Amino acid sequence: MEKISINSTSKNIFRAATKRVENNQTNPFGVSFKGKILTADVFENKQAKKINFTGISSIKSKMLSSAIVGSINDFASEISTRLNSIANFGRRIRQNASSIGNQISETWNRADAWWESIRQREVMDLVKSGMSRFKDEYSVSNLLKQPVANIEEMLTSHISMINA
Amino acid sequence: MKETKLFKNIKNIIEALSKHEDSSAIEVLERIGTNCDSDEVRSLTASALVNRNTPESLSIVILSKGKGINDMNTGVAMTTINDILSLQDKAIAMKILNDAAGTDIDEEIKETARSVQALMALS
Repeated sequence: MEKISINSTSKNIFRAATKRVENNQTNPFGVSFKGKILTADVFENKQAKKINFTGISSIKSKMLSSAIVGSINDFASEISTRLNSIANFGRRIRQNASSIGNQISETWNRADAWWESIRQREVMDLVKSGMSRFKDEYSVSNLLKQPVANIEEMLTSHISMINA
Repeated sequence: MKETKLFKNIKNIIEALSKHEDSSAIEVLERIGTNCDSDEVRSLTASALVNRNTPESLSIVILSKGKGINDMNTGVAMTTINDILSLQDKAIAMKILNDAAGTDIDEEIKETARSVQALMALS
């Protein structure tokens, strides 16, 4: 089959035109392309190459293997990436857990201090209430609730304190 | 002694005795308060007896020998007279002062009673 090229077409343009009749014998439609009559070989390859399926299959298998290997590599890298991310996540969790533990112990210490302050405040309140009760013991309203004999004792003891 | 806790307690005790519903409180004031060495306690006791405003309590302050106005030192006597003059109801005090002239008491006490009576008339 004659190859179609621009150079050959320009050189043999007249000669190709003279061969039109005989070429038409194999090309009944007389299809031309850029001024040159195309032969039947263009449409029909009489000597069609036989496809080597075994070669194709080997190529395909190689490609498949390569793809598999590539995918395995990708898969392995993806697994390693995910494993790293999992490891990072675990590390972060552990750090968070330790920080949470620190926060819990700190909170516990604060609660302990707070409870201690409350206890101290309660003790102080008790002392104050006791003192106020002691102080109120000599208030006029409380003294009026007591019998005169008790008040007399109080007056005597207090006067003795003046003289002491 | 003033403004100390002890003084405040004594003041409250004497005030409670002056307001106590039991009339035996007057006897306690007379026996302990009027015989105390402290001028402050005696002054407080006299004021408590005046504020009690009963014939018994005012008789102690006005007519009693050795415990009344006539035998108090000047400061305590002046404070007590001022309390008598400040009473809202002077009827009992006036009656005791009027009756003082006819009772069998020292002349000095009668003279003091007359002076207080004159002050009350002027007030």
